[in-house]
Amino acid sequence: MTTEVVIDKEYKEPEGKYVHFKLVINSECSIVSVVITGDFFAYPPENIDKLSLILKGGTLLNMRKLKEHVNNIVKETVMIGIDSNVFKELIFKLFEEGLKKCRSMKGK
Amino acid sequence: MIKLRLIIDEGDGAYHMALDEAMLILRAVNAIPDTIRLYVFKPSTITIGYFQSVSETVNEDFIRFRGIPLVRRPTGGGAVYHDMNGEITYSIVISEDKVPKNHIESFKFLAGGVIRAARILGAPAEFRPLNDGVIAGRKFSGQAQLRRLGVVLQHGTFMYATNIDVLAQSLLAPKLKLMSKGVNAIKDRVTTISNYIGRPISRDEALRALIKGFSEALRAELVESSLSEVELLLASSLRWKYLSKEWTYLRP
Repeated sequence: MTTEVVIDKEYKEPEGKYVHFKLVINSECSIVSVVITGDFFAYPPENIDKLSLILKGGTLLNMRKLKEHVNNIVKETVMIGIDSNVFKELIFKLFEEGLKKCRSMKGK
Repeated sequence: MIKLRLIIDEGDGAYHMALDEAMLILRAVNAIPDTIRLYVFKPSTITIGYFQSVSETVNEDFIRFRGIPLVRRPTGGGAVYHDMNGEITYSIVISEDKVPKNHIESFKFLAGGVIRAARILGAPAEFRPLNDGVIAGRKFSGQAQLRRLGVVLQHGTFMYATNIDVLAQSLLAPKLKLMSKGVNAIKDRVTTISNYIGRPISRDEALRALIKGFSEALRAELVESSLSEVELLLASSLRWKYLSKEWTYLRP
């Protein structure tokens, strides 16, 4: 039976909008879900849902693949209120934290 | 001078969001002309942005107790309290080639009507990027936008006499957001035109100001008309989406 852990990150862009990332991972370093919420704008909006869907089930042990997914989708998306590069970096930091956490869970 | 069909309307939140989406689709296939709709939410309703989390944004216990429905919009942006006795919402559906290509510039251009309307009523309103209308630094209007198939849907609020106490109790804001604006509560961030000018404003007066405001700001001829059968039919089909728990709690 695997344990699940939630990692949160929130950010408010100066003179911009708010975004909240919630990453749920298990002790096998798999992504159970990535929820992205906030009051920003994204065009097309479905790309943010697509991002959550494509990351689901991914493994933090293959960071290159995960980052590729994020890069591919964000480059096709116009973000308003949050800088796209900041958006990506926040997700990458979330992955890094997730990897540290699941490694420490595995170590137990 | 651009020509805009003018619709004056009222109904529940699910109907309004369904109709906004229906009009976006129908404009894309040239089944309807460029249109501005000025509408009232009956009953008073909370709408939240497409990306917002319900639990982070809305005081569900309070709105349930007050019988205030919650509807998720198809557009991004923040949460709004649409007071049926104090707020008029506008939606514009227009071909993309008639608005600035840059999103923030287009927010400003289309919101020009609410800014002008507020000034007509005596309030020194200004547009504050990204998407706010403000009076003396406090927000009285917010805009949200969706673009599809060469068409822009922008809708936004005009708080002429909103009950700010109900608004403040209905909505939550992340501490991070409030801190960045240097305020402790939502109440400190918002205002109404009536509050600023110090006298009550009726819905009719607000409506007249909006019609004049949009006409002047957009240099548009507004021609009042009614909704077509195909708009009502498509809106009726889409209304179920906006009533469904699956849509509303897309981001719980």
